[in-house]
Amino acid sequence: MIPSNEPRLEYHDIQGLVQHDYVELPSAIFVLCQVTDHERARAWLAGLVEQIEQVSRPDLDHPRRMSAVHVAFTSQGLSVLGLAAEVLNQFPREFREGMATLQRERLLGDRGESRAVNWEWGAGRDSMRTDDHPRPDPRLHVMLMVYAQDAHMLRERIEQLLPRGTDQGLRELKRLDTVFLAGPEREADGRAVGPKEHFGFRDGIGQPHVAGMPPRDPHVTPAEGNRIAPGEVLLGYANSYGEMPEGPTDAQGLGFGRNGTFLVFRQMRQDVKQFWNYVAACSDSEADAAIKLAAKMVGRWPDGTPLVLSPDHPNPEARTHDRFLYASDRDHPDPHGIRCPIGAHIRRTNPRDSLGDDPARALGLANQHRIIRRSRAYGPPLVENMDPKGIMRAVDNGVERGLHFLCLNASIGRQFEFVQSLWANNPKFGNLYEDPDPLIGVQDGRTGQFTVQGEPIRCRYAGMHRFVQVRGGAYFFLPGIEAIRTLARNSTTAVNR
Amino acid sequence: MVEQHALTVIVPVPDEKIEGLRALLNAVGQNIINPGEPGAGSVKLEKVRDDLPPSRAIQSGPNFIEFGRLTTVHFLRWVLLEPARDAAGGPIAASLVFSTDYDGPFEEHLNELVLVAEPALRTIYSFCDPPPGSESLQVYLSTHIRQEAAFYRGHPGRSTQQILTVDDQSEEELRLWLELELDRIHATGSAAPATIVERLREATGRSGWRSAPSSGLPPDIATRTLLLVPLAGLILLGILYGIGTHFFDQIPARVLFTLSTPIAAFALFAALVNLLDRIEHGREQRILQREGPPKQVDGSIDPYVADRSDVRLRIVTELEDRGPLVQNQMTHVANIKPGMVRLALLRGLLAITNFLARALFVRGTLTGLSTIHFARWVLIDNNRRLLFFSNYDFSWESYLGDFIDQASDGLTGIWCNTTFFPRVRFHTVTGLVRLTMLVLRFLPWFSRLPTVRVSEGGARREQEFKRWTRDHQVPTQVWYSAYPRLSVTNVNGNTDIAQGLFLPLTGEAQAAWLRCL
Repeated sequence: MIPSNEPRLEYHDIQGLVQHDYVELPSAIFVLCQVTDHERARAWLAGLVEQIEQVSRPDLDHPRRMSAVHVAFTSQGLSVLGLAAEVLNQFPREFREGMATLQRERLLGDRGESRAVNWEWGAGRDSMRTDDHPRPDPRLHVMLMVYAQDAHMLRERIEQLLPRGTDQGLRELKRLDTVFLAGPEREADGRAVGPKEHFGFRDGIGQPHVAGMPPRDPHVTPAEGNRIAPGEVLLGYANSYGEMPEGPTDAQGLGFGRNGTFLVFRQMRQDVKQFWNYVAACSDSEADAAIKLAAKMVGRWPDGTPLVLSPDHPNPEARTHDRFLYASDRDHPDPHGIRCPIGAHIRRTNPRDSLGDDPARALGLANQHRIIRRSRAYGPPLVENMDPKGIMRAVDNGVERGLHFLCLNASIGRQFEFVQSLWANNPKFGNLYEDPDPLIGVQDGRTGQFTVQGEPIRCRYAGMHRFVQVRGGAYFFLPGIEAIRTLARNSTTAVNR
Repeated sequence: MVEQHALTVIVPVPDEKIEGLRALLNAVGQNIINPGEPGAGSVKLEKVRDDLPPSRAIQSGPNFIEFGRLTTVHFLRWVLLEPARDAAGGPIAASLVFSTDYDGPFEEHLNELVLVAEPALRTIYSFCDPPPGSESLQVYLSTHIRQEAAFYRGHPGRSTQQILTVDDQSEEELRLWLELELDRIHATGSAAPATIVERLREATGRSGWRSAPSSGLPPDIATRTLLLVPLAGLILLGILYGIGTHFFDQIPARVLFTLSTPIAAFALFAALVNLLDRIEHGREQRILQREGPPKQVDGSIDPYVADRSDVRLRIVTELEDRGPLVQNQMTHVANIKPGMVRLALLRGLLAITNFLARALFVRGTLTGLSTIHFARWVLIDNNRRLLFFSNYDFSWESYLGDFIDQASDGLTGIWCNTTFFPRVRFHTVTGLVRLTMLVLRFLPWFSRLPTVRVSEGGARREQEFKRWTRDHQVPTQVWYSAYPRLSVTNVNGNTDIAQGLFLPLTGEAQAAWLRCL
């Protein structure tokens, strides 16, 4: 339930990542750091905070953005930087415990190769336990996120923020590079269609609109069924239950948590050749049939066209279309998954109005689990122009590639973890039997299948592989700007103003 | 059609035996072999040998217990309730709770339990007070039975054998068979729905299935039974009108009297509960002030609120999401608020819940929730505590979300009678109208009515309710499911598939049936 009057958000105090996906800044890097000297680190933070990009007010003209900087902290990071324990304890359990725990491994489907103990970063072993239970890497404290127009500017910006050879009280644990992938299709103005992910599909289209936040495109009114309350993303505002999200804020929304949000980071390796080999094998190596099957798995064509709107071929008009429903769509209803299969990735990561008997109610319930995605691809593309036919022909060069999956939400448990466990991993999603998410779900190798509904009967594809493996991850807090200043001052007395 | 029942056996555990029993139960619970692996549904003797009491002679055979041999059991659990305090601060001794959701009759179930697991049962109950003596185990268990106050079944009437066994009458086997046949039909190209159904029937004949299973989804007697409620309402109104004629001459005055009396009575009742809640909330706040907030430090047991330590939470949460990510369990214990009013209210609401669960929610959904296999409420410790067991599908977070979004009124009604529950406010003036709409909404003809709520707060306080639930959860040491890979909708869907195969379906009904596969 969203109040009809738009809530007033404190734009100047919210990190701009909540508003922007920075498609216009194709170069980006995420730097994971350990705080080695908290005094120096706080001084560094005091300098950094003035450079952080804020939410841009819609009534002002903004100069063209050349770069953007953001900073996020793990629970250990906040503690090391001096946040008082009683403030830290007000954060929800998911954040305090971190992503690398036994329970979350099961919930998030991090099994086998994806187990946290096998990650490249973000996890260690719990030495207190005799079995090899994972625990979050205690050294991971801060993540610096830098976006720029090109690689050169990115390097400059990074060198300026974290100059080599000087001690800022931080030790770099890892630099996570990104790539911007553009597809073979062209927009009307000649620009390449992007961003894409490595399987060759356009990424980042479906996003909820946060009430009170300037819309991405000022000319487009956000669809009513796509609006979420600010408290679904930001601490200190009412959420869909009319309550303040759990965190260090008081009933008025004041306190350290105010204007902050939780950032979930998962590095996911994509086995691109395995994916396309699988769909090709299912289609007798007929390229168009393989692309269609892959589109059925995703729920959109490689260029982004949703199958609900155009089930048989991509439609350049509908590439970024997101205003559609499944059960009660006015023009293209698809309650039984004939156009877009029930188990398709986009249908299960945002089921809109499709779960249950009452579409209006279903839409409201589904919107209680939305996340804002800010992912970036990493690793060189298998073929430069991201053409699926080219990818199918290409030979795997063994280089790791994948997605840095980043998302923002106010309740990790009710939003990110819920989507991953109840919708993506769940083989019983939408009354199915053995169908986990064909892209990111847990496949146990024996039973996993993908069902394509059809008239009069369905077709099912057995022996699904797990095409995506988790290589690292952590739960971060992306604080409001004033809260970062507080951290930099280490004045924890002022933390609960 | 089989009758499904709940068995709850509670036996005290002396303090000095708690640790040993906990270790043994943990060893059993953590070593149940998952389906698909050899020896599924059993616990190897070697895995629990270290935790067996030294005085017990070790039985022969490689397994300590073979759950998989139990043909009458849907779900089974052992939970150790640690020593605690009631709402008035009085001590509650430790006890061991055993529970099953089983196919009747009771004697057959009990005999099977003893036949399959006598040595294990004797070993486990040797930790209890009294331990089983010379009497038969059947008698021993029977003397400690505690009747449940409310029991819900997500797929009533289906036996565990019908749901999942390897013989020809299992509905899951039938579905798998039909799916394979459909794959073949798909490979050979398109055909008309009628032809496909005919081919499926023929193929099924070869598999041993020749008729519909003996029990399908329960028929809609539910609706008829529930019509008793409005009927009773009408009779009440009639009586009130009769009383009205005694006092008023004018017809409008009589009508006004007739309609306003029940509303006023309900409003008064709701106001009383609201007032009580306010007083009790104040009392709880004072307790919290005196005792400090729930303990965050590991290892302590707070006298009034379950300790919120990370260790306890970790024990509870690590027992969730075991096995193949489909089913889960919850054990929950809360103190009942002191006073006769509360106990009476609680008993009344549980009785209504039990009636609705048997009469109305028989087709796989409980007020719209379709993820609960079995759930029960039991009043324990001389009515001082309320025990809740549930076997549900998917994650805790989704289960609690369903509670909050779709069943908040019912749960608030029940659990607002326990301590430290989030604050509640029942609608007084509009309450009865809201309640009527709420009940009507569950009848098929009124399903389009807008959602209304009788209460605000309580289970609707999302985060507070989730925290309260976690605070009162108890680790379930041993938990066994006979069909861990099937969700409630799978079980009910399989029944629909099996029934539909033998029905003379045509047109859209035929297409709809094919869509189930």
